[in-house]
Amino acid sequence: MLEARSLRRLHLGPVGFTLEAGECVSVSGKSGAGKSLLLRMVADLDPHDGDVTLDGAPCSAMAAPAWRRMVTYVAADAGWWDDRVAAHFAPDIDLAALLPQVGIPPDAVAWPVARLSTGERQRLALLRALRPANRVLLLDEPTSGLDPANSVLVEALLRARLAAGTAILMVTHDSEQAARMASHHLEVRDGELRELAR
Amino acid sequence: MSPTLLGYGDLAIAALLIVLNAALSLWLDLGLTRTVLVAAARAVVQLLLVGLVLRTVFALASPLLIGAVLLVMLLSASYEIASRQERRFAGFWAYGIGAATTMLATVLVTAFALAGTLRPDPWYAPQVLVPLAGIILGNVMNGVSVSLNAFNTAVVRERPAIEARLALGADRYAALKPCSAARCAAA
Repeated sequence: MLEARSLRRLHLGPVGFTLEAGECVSVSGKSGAGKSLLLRMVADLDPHDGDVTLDGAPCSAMAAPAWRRMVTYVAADAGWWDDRVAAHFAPDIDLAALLPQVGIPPDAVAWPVARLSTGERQRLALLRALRPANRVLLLDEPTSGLDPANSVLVEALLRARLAAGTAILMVTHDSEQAARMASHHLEVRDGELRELAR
Repeated sequence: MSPTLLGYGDLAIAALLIVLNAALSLWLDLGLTRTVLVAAARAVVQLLLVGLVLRTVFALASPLLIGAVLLVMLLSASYEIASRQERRFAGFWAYGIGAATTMLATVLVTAFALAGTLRPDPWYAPQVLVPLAGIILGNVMNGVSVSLNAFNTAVVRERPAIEARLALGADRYAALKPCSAARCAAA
């Protein structure tokens, strides 16, 4: 479904990989190896060489906002553009009903962003990125700040998206999580992307 | 318009103010005495040179020469705007954005003042046009450099928020909303 070819930026690349619908692929590697760089290239957030296609349609031939609505990047430390939690979500969704899915009380809808803990921010940033239009999610350490119970909730949410046909490329330092979630495992090392056999 | 003439007495008063500032710096141990005096000396030399050039320009009253003087003023204002930015745009726009906005605002406002209120004859009379453009240009330059610096600083500070919106598929205008006037003012 998604195919990346000859991606190159700074010390990373050229690298390529493919993702099928409903498939989760994990990405590991040392800090600074270029994992986030890879995800950001796929989301077309940084200038880069090479191209990515989604069902054969190249990213370079598409308006960036349209591409990013389908191929959506969630940063490890995502930003907030309003003081209120609810302002970050589309008005057409029932946020209070969604929040318990990630272990956050429904009344957080009315909270200011400043009241959220690191882990709550991380889960809300993920929830905010889940839209009907996404075909591919690029997740940068989606559970790094979470306790095991909340990690389980997030993984369940991601599994539901996978079952619905969304593909996920996930940076994770947790090899057990990679084994639970992903069918293929990639490692970024020395500017290259290798497939790990497990 | 009758020109206002300044005598040596007036100049002495202006010079006294600078000496006063230098004395204050000495008294309060601000370490600015040398800077103030050197800047004042430079200003005197620069103004003498500008005066020489303007005397020729005023005497010749050639539209081409006046145009050249205005162009030099615009270019140096654009350079000054760029040099006042802590963060600049990349490439051409480092200077281009300041130059374009300054030129547009200065030309428009000067044209309104010339055509509406002052109506000199000829319309390009240098005694009117050069000081008028200079006053407007000075104000525009300050306004542009302050607001551009506030915008650039806000973009850097709000980078995670802007990127979050871009990553979710917002276009650049929506993503830059946090840097619009309201938040810039707080910068």
